[in-house]
Amino acid sequence: MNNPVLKREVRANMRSPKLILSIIGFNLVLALTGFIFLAFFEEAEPLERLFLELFFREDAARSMTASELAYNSIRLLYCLLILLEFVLLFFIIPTLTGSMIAGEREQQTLDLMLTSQLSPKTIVFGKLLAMMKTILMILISTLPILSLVYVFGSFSLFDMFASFGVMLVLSFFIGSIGLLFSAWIKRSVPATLCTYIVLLGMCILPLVIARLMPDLVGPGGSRPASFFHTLALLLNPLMSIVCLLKMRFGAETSFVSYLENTTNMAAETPIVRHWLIMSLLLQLVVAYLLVLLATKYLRPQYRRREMNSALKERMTVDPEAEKKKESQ
Amino acid sequence: MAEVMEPVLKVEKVNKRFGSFNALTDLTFSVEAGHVFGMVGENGSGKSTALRIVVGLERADSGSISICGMDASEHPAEIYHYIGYVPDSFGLYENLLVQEYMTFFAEASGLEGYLARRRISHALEMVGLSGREGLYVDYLSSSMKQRLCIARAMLNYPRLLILDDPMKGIDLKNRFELRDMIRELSAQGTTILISSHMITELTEFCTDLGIMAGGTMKEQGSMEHFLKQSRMNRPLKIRVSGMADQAVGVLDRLEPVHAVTVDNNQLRVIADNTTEAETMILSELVREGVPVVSFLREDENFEAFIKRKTGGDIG
Repeated sequence: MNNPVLKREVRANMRSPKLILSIIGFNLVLALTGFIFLAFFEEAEPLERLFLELFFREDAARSMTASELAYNSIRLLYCLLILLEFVLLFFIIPTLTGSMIAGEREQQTLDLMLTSQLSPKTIVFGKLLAMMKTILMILISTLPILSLVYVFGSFSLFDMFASFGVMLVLSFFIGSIGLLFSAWIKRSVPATLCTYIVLLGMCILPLVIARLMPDLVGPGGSRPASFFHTLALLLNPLMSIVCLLKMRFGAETSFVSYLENTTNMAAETPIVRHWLIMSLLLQLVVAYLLVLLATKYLRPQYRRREMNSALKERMTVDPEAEKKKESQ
Repeated sequence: MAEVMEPVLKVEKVNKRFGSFNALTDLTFSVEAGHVFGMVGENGSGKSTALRIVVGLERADSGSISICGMDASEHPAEIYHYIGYVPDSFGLYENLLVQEYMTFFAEASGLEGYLARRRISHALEMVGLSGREGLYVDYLSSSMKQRLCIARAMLNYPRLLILDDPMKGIDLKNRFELRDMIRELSAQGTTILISSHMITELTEFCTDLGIMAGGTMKEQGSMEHFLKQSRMNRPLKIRVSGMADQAVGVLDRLEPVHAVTVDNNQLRVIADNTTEAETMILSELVREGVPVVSFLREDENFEAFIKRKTGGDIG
């Protein structure tokens, strides 16, 4: 992709110690969690059963034999690692994106880009793709640790790629929110803080509302939940991860029953049955719209339009004429 | 019929408000092709705002801007082919090499491959940074950073180069180098619009001058015109050994005299700057018996003259 902003960002990121420190830190947290789990958690059987109940079908863990419990513990470990990966991304991405445009403003380099041939769209997408490249590198670096659970079996490659894909989509969505605030708010720190506040609100508020005010979102099973509440839940990245874990590693119907219990949503609706796909698609669409909105904050005066053909011709300069001009 | 040349930049009745503050009021000026237009004015007079509006970084509330004959609001993307902009801050990526920095902006200007490499080496040569391509931008001195910014702005061979206070924060030696560079660019046919606080330096390379005050262009004209005006308006300093009050009475009656101030036996006279006027004033004083000790033109420099015109403190 010939995006100068992307190329420059990647070059600068590769040179910065921040990337390598992020990769080391990220893997260290995952590895330590795995180590602590394998070393200590398996010994604490009641605790293990409790976690299994939370993650898998609620009543299944109680009746498990000791060997079944040990087998399922590894599945639980994988779930924990995926969840942890999400939490780490949740905190890393806003710090990456918060300074992406606001930082350029603070460095006063944004003006230079805006007075070049770069369109705001190229700038914003270049930034977003650079962030995605960083996240991709971090996620790929974690694959060896995540694949350690293969030693114990019970996972397919599809599981790993599914979680990898979901993480990428969620990163794109979270990144687009961060980028919008970075373009809208002129300073990096407030932009990052606003992204955290909005993300936390998105993750927690719909669930809290469903718990505290069940009437507001529709009574359980009798009629579909309100449109806005369903939309808020579909856009909730935490719900997407929970859905992935429950559907891939728990019983097929467990997420549906979880949604029913948590949010009073009707189980038979197509949205609930295809929750993960619907939620990821919606997040991709919203992310794209947010990025387009971010570009609007970069052009205060002139509307950018495509170059007319005469000017495109001017750009393809004849090398001979060029030399002549230089020698003047 | 002779063809009338279109100015490279034409700003007409541009207004800009920030809240209740009128930053620009009916700002009107133009820059002719090949000219070096210097913009001076006290802090807050609207110079930087005007330049930011010209390059499209701020939105004007009303008015029109035309660059190379194109209405900037009608052809927003196209105008960036014709302008190079150097803001008052460096705006550098310090973790990039000089070559990488230039390559990024060459690509941002739509240049690639051979063309980009040629333009980069030419621009660096022009500002005297050849051979520094492998250095990190962070390691360059302030003046080198300034020159790098100009090289960046020159990548697309702009018809109009806009420099916002380029002499800020650089030492005398480098200021001279910058002056020579601007002269060279101008000699190559680049039209330059420059805002600066260094009025004396501006006289050395500007062909035109615009004096800004309170968000308007108070006066615009050729540098020659302003220099002449400055020489013309230098006051006369007359020292007498007595009869100062009588001397004021005599001077008040004379037509070429516009104003007189007295400090002990020292008279400061604003009068026409002609030999005839000077002869008349001196002979009338002598005829009335005023004991004139010395009679000379005050040595007011150009900077003081411009400061007097802007009615404030520049710099």
